[in-house]
Amino acid sequence: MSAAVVQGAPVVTFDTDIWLDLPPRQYMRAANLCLKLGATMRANTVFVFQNDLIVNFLYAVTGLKNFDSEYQAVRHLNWIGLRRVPILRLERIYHSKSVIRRPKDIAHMPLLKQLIVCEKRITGKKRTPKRTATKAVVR
Amino acid sequence: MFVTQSKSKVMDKRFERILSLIKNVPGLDEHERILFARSLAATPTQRWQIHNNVLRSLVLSSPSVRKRFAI
Repeated sequence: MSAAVVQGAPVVTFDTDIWLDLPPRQYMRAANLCLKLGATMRANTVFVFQNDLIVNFLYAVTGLKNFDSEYQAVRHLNWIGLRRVPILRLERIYHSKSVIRRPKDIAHMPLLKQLIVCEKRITGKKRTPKRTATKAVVR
Repeated sequence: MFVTQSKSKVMDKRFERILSLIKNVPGLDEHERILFARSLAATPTQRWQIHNNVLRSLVLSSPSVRKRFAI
């Protein structure tokens, strides 16, 4: 839900999910990088940084297409000092949650839907996906 | 969150504009409209700072709470 928070969802979440496009043999690369940056490993994919930032790495997201397909429609935002961070659009987050349907996902869905409607009223235009290549997307 | 006066004025103007744009969104009461407009008027970094402030105000980011949730 961090991606939704950054796009204006008035909700609170504990962790930031980062979707990585890595083959299974390279999963340790992300873990090693976090450890090198001083993070504490809580689980195979969960790391807690000194500033209380909790990062969870995902290698596939239920309900979404493959990484490359989804990346074509991401939104780039400047966030926590980083430039052009690729972030999943609200529509795709909503779609993923509508497929996963855990209780917390179902609870978030009406809010996301309202936010999407509000955003459409503000922008007043249809979005056009951009084509570029990268290795990570915030979910 | 530290927001300078000029930035705050810009945010207030954006807030007013967004509030007027979403006034007819179905399913939102007045309180929710203000909440959404406030959130949408902020920049992504400001939104993240607000989110962290809320998390801290609820004492949800303390080590003991994280331990309880096994994170």
